Amino acid sequence: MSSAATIYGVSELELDRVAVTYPGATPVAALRPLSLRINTGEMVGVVGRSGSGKSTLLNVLGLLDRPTGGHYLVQGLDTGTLPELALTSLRASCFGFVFQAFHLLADRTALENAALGLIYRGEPERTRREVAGWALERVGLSNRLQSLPAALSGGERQRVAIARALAQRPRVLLCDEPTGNLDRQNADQVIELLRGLHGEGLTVLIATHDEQIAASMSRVLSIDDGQVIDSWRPAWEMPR
Amino acid sequence: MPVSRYRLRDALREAITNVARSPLRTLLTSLGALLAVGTVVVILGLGDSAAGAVSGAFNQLRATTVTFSEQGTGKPAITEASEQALDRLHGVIDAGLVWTLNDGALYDVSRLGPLYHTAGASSTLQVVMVSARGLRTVGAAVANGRLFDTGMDASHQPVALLGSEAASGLGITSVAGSPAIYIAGQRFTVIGIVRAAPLEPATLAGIIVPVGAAIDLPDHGGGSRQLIVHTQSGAAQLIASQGPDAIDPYNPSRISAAAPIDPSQLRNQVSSQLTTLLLVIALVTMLVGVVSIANVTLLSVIQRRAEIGLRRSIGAAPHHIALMIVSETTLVGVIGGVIGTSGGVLITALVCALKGWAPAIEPTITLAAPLAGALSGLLAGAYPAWRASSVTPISALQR
Repeated sequence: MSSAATIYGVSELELDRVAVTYPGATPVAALRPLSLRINTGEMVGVVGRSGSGKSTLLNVLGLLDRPTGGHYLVQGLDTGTLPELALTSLRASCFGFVFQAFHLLADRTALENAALGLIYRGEPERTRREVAGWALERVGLSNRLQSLPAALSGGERQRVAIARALAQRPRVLLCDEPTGNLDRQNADQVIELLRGLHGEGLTVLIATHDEQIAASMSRVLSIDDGQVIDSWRPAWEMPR
Repeated sequence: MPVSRYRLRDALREAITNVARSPLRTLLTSLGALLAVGTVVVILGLGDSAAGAVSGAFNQLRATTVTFSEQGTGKPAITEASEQALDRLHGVIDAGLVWTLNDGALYDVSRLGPLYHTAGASSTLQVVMVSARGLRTVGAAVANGRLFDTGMDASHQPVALLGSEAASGLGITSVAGSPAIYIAGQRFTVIGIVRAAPLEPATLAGIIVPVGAAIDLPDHGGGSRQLIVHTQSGAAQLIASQGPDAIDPYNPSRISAAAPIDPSQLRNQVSSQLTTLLLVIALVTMLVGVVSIANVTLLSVIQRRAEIGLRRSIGAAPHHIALMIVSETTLVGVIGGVIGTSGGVLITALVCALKGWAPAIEPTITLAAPLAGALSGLLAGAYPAWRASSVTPISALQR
């Protein structure tokens, strides 16, 4: 598996003066014109206070939201020209999402939740179960395959959500406040898991208001009022 | 780059999972279709059963009876000879003369008491003249004694039959001892008490005398003569048209025939009138079922916004979401249709058992009703599916 250092310099995601403005009586500039590159294999923390634009940035990067200005390229492909179905396909193949609220289906088991995204790949059920089982094993939940979310702790639920994202074999993992609903112990476990996945070659972006978590990233973007106001690389080592 | 897709098999599997793991929501959602389909099955089943019962009752008796009567004055055309004339017509089982004497006016009737020459009860009663064959034709049956026969009739024997009501009024409960009655002063021997005369139930309230004995009664010439004909099933209409010529070939227009409505025509008339009404009711109830499913599903879509947003974020296209919703509502419609059909059949059978009808449910209804439930579910899911497909992932996940 290539280390992150060997693949730096290859632009995975490129924002070229991307802006997001929500219309209304008073238009809201959620993202001001922003140019940014995320390289393959990076682990990037996006920090900022609530309402600073962190989630908007991740939504644009994950193709959940279309920018109202500028260009957004995914592996060199201009996403602005893509129709809705192509955008959906690109999103499913490239990006995995981890949300603060977990967003698990309450009446599905951990295995079924982890396999959910594979339904839209047209994968047979048997394959979905195998891949989902592998993903849950990777996040340390091989003994909770048949558990419903109500029987899981907060940290376990978030790990199921991570497994759901992993099962789709994304190139980029976008995490919006993944530890926002977790206690410190579970939060540390989740961050450690994400760092481990990054070590296996996954590009990871984490939006967080927690400076301590951001400090463990390879690069940190500080965002406020819809624009990146600072960017730095903390002292950081690859996990062994 | 793999293209986002959602196989129909997966849509159905997910629909089954969603339905099975939310039984209460499924039941509430299917209630509309369940009640609609059940109502339609009951309406159609009871309609068919009732029509069958009506036509069956009709077939039993009235559909095989033709009554000829004569109009105008002059020499009577309907006589005992007319009975033989009708025998030549194909389809005639029996024919008999029935004649209400004196235009139905009442005669003074008294009887002898238990002791000879002791005055007994008296009354005023209607007197009907019936030929021996006529007794057979109207289906007369005695509770006590016997009917008079052709020999008694031909020999003008002064015998009489009492209808059960008349016998009760005169205090005669048995013909043992040959009780006698006086009709307008003329003595008649009571030989039987009639308990039933299905084609002429009015005779039960009066006295029945043979043709030969009626001649001795005053004012026996008045009244309308009738020839009652018992026909084979389906022959009534034909005999009604041929009878006047057989009775009075020289002046058939004097003879009028009263024939029952062809039972198949009656059934068709009833059926066609009912069918239109039932179809309207069926459509209205199905519409109610569609609206009911649509309302509950729309509420479900609102509650499942986050799930829809999640599915969109992990690869579901808008039309995949629509397919998911429509699959669920169609399945719910099928479930409601099956349960409604079963319940409708059960209720129909129960009502028929209470009514004494033979249940008549078209097999096509039991097959079509669940399909109708499916169709109602499909239609009901259209608008909620459109609403669900319009949910953007970002709007759903940020709430």
